[in-house]
Amino acid sequence: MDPQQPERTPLRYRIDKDVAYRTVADKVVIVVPRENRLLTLNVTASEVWNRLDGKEICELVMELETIFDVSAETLARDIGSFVDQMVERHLVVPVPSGDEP
Amino acid sequence: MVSERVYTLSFSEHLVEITVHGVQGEEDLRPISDWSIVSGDCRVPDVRLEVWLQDHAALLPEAKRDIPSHTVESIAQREGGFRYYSPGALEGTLVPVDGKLSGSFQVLHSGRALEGLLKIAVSQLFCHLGGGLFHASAVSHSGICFLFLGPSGAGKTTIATRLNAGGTPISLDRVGVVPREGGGWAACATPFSDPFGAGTYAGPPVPVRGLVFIHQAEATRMVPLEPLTALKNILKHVAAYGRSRELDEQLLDVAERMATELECCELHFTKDERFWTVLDRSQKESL
Repeated sequence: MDPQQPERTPLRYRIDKDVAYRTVADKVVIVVPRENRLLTLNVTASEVWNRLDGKEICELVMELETIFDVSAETLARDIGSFVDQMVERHLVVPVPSGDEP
Repeated sequence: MVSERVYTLSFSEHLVEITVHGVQGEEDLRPISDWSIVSGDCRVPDVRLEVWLQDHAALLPEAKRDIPSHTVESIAQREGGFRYYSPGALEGTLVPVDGKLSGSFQVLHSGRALEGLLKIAVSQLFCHLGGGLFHASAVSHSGICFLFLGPSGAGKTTIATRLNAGGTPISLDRVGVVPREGGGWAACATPFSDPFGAGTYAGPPVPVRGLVFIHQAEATRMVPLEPLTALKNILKHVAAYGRSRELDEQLLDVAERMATELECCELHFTKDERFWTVLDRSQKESL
């Protein structure tokens, strides 16, 4: 860890309140408001999406470790990448861990 | 001479009454006057619109005069209704009143803007009724119908015209779909097409048997769709104007139910005789 960088407060993540979505056949279909298009998540990403409700990445990793046969490190990297993409598209909102999710 | 005109449009047992103020000439009204107008119908309209025609400057804020018409459209839920705003084209609200919709709008002196307003109103009406408006054609046969959904140029009119020989045209370009009492869905005409020059279909909504998503291709074939693929295809063909969370939620509900309750398939077709062979065989199997 870079000693010059202040330690980051862990973030919790929740689905943006303006986003409408449905789970059909284990896959999540999201109406992307700003892009006026549909986004379909694969089964793995859908599992993450449906568990977001204000959790930290490490909590998601612990939950999904029991479902997927991959290492915690791989899960953490993949979940972090997915969540970052969702945040970038304004579908998921990060909330500092001290705040109410 | 400036005047006021009142029109009543009828389609599949629905009525839209539109009062247009500030009419300066027939050009202002051409899209409406080309549609099916009824008179003497005493029912309460499903949608009642008061429209004030305005010049371009009155509808465009100073700061946004460089925005061309029809490029920006917004929808926001306000006080139980919807506010629509499209700079240079229209501005107004549509609210539910006693189970009906009532709207008040300023619209540009342009047939296109007035037609746009009616598409918004009719789209909102079908949402209000628990369904939606779709880019589709529909022809009824033996008391049921299939919807053919696709973008402009996909062949909706071609297919509906071919099927017209043995059925009743409901609509060529946009079809309203509403839930039926007791389950299932029914197709309604809209004022936006005049199928085969026969006037807008004014009969009761027709039960929908299935949805056919059409694509022109090298070979003709029918492919049944899984509910997820059907859901995505249905949502692609919704004719919705503007967005809101509530509207998205409702359309997702409608699309999900339609995807699971109706037969859904893709029709890849060539515009030659092989197409009719496949379609006729499919029709016989379905009807």
